[in-house]
Amino acid sequence: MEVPNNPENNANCICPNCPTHNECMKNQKLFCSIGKTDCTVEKQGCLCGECPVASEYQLNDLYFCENGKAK
Amino acid sequence: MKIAEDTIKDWWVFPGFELEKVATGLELPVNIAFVPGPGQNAQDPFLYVSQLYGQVKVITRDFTVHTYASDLLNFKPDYKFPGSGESGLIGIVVEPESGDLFLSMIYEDNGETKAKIIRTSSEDGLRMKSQVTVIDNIPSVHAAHQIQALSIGFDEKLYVNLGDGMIDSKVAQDDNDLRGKILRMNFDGSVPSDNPNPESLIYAKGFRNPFGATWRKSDQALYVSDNGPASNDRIAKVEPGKNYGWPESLRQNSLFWWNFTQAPTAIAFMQDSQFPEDYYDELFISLFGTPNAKGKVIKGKKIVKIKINEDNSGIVSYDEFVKYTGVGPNSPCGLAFGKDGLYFTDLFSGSLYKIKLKKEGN
Repeated sequence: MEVPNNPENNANCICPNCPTHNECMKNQKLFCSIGKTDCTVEKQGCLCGECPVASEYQLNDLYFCENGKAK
Repeated sequence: MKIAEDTIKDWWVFPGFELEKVATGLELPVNIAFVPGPGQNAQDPFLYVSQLYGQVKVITRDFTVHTYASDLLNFKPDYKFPGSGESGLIGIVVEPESGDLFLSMIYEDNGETKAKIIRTSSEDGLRMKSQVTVIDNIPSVHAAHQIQALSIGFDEKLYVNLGDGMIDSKVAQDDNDLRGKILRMNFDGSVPSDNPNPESLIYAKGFRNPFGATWRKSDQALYVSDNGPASNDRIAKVEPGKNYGWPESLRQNSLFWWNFTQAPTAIAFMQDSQFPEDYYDELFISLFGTPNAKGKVIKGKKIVKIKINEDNSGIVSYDEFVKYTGVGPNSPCGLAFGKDGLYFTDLFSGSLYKIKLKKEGN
């Protein structure tokens, strides 16, 4: 399901709390909506499964920061 | 730091039962460990609570809260929920003979996050006097999937739930890595000679984030809860030498699973006389859900109970037992049976509740 890039989803997004979210990504979040980051992704664990945005939009994948937006 | 308000009316309870708030003012209370055979005096220790950010509280028989230990972490927690704020001090169990506590936690060592277990001693059970390290230097992470529940088996060995560390899930299948395993050890951390591999602490492998553990009297076995990535949380009966599948599968050798994750935390069997006989051997499970999610949510914020079938191949019933219905981030985390009811912690409000049979006429 496509995730809108809107203020509510941005507020609920937990990407900045994620161990994989790094300094390069500091102004980026909601990868399930905006797509993959242009920063280097060093996998340190993924919180997408715990995210309220993922629950609301019935997402079942991980590492949107690397794999791109939800389809 | 109190993150959520709490009112008892915000909790729905299964018909025939009622809720009693027995303690407040705890800070991020995680797990509960009852004192086996507590003394009869009002000031005797009754139960202990691990607090996520490095304290242990002891609650006496008169339900006064005392600080047993503090400053057990060597790093500053960051309160990020979900995320790195979910880590710290988790597991707690009372060694029945001495009254000592075993505690599991993460720590920082030259910039690396590691996991350890300590054993603490006290003269009166009210204040820690000394501590020794049982095992340490286990690679870990500042997030969930860390070292989790501790339990003591009927064989008087210490069992340890160890998450996969989140970064490389393949370690759960690596027999030379302790992560993603259930460990079995003597109380001094040494390997029991009757372990599946007499040279290894590993008792079973293939777990992801096994938060809860409890022992069942009727089959003398250990049961754990395990958390899936976005699907397949599960309950499993842990048997020596078995492989529980992660990262390939979170259903392998499982008793029961939720296709859509609910974040099961602590678990406990009703196996004494706290509830009527109909509830005997039912497993009560805290479903924590998404940390810090407020109000009505799809995941967690409840305690459910399941009845396991006779041949242990599945379950025959599933009920919601307690449910948070308010607007806050409240959710049950720790859970354990005391002699007079089922106790649980509400992580974000810092309250400890008891579920008991409703008195007639109420």
